[in-house]
Amino acid sequence: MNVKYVILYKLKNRKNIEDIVNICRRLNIEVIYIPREDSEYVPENVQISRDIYEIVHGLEDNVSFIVLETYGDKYLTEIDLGENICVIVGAEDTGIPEIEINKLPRDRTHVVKIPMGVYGASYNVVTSLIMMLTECLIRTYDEGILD
Amino acid sequence: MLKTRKLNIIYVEPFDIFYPSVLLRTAYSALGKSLTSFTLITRRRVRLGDIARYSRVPIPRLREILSIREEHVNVSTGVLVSTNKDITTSSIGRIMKFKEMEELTIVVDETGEMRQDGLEVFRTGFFDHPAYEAVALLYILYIRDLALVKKFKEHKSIPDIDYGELIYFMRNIASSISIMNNYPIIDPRSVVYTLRHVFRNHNMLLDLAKAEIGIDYSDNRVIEKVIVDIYRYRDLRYIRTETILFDGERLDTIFVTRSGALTRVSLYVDSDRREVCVDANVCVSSRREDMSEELLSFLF
Repeated sequence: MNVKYVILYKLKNRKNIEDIVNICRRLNIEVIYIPREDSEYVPENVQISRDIYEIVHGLEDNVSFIVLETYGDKYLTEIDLGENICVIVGAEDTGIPEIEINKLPRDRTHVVKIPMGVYGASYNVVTSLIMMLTECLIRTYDEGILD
Repeated sequence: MLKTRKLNIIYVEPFDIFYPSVLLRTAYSALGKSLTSFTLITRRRVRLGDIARYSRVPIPRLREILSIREEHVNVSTGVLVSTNKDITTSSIGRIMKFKEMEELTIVVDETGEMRQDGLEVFRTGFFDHPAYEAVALLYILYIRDLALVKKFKEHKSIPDIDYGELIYFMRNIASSISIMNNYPIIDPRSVVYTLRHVFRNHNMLLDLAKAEIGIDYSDNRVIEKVIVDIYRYRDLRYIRTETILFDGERLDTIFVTRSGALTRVSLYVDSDRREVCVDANVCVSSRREDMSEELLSFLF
């Protein structure tokens, strides 16, 4: 799996956070959580950070950042994923503000969306991450992922 | 377009209604009206309001597709999603053949006990919950391919207009696409002020009179209406009023021919790629500096 880190930017729903942490644990992906100011729940055994900028400078220089956002102007299938990926998913209600994305290194960052067939719809944050991970699995293992 | 026109999902014995609801949200967001039925098999009491809230499917549509039964339905062909590792999964080839079929039924089993003959079995083994495995299945079968779907197939004939002016207009429109509540909209002022530059070349002046942006949440449609008054540039004599329409995909606008006559032009807006297109292959993007070969050959 070429996804090494997942940053949860101010997610608020406990079930979403727990499910993501469980999936990532299974796939040996490190979770970094940026809590809201008023967070009532903070997951255990994950790295907590206050700021994206702080996280970026703590990671290796060869990490590429993939931000899953509805305002992305490329599809996930249209980018080169790279070997050392950090996926960033945003809060269920507000997503990730563009000002936060500007803190990421421009030459190593993609803001992508997952295609939808219905205007106005959106995917749940856990399912968006699952689709991202499935895309990585497809590319890593080609068609052998089910065998 | 997707070949599967009818997708049926049967969800067996959900422990927590959140999970079938999240799967329903994914299937509806991806496939829209091609999701023709979603059946819950359960003896538990289900509050439909919870499903509506978690799935975010418009309630009229939800009432059409959702059914709840106590007894299981026999399915002779389709895909079984199960996290029970005692059940052998099918090869990817056998699963992928369903992409080509008119109709597919996916059975999601939380009990792990189903072994229905005739069904192919799917799981990646990476996601704990069968609902999430089913999301991976939908992604592999359909959602990836949505990126390849060209919505605009017909080749529109463009009236006798200055192509430089048309490209200028298309590029500015591509730059002014924004997303509001996940619906694409175009800033009415950008439409009008861009057209103003074009119309100035033909001794006319456009004035924004009124703009309405409406969202039909029950049918997932956007309806944008921009009303402009057109005046003679020299003495501001009123010529006429025109309406520019945008429905999320198609932009039907007033334009002007080389000889200065008013005409209408239909363009297609690919909001996901921030492109404005004459047809599937002839597009102008907000982020692409050079024009595509298709565009150049179309224009010259």
